[in-house]
Amino acid sequence: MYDTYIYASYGATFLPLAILIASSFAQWRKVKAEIADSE
Amino acid sequence: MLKALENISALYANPTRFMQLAARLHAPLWALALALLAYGLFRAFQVPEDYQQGETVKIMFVHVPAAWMALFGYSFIFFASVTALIFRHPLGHVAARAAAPVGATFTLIALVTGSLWGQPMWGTWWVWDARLTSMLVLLFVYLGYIAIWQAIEEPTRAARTAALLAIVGFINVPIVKFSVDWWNTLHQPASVSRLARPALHADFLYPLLIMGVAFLALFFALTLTRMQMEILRQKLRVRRMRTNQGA
Repeated sequence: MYDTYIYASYGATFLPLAILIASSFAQWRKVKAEIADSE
Repeated sequence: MLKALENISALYANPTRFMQLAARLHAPLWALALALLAYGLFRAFQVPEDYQQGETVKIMFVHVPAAWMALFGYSFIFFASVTALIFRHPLGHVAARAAAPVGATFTLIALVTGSLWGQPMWGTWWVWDARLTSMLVLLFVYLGYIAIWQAIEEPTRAARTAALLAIVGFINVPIVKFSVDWWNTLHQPASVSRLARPALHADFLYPLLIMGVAFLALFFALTLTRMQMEILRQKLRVRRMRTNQGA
């Protein structure tokens, strides 16, 4: 009966976290590449 | 103890030395965070139904640790800002800036999952009670802190202004924590922090604590990754300035 609320909560938790993790690693890789280019 | 902390702090005040330590810690910290998260989720989905809340009690295993991390994240930013402003530790601003999006994300998660828990349990998505409102204010303080870093171009001025906001905004942390004791709220009072006699049965308490430690490890893994990125970004900025001055 309450499955929708439970799955929505887990989705609302792990989707933003996944986006934050992916964007943090993407930015880190980009800066590393720029540092390598500038050497 | 304080002397040991001072020694560690001084040792890693050098960004190059910090980067060497961070490179060694990076993979083990991520592995620990993901393993704890997997185990915590496994335990969370094994708990029995609560006699009052039924299956929706499973929302607690993401909502409560996210709320803990929202407060912990802001306290981390506060202490890092104090370290930077008063003790002039070179990594204080870096640590505070790196932690801000992580803490803001956990605050948003706590608000959204709280709303998704409130609807079936209280019959409403939102009420303007002291706990929910102060948590929303915390999200705005996080966003304000992030906005200052984006808005002010000169890094030293941005760091000082953001640190001042972080210190002033810390007043909201005890308000969030004790709002359920100071005012009449629809939100329930603390169930876990009464360590002598927690209101939760062990079947619920242990998975909740595991998820709490998992979120804490995830907070540090994300903050460490973002600190490494910030230090490289500063290095790149200095290098570009030198190139421009040389040209």
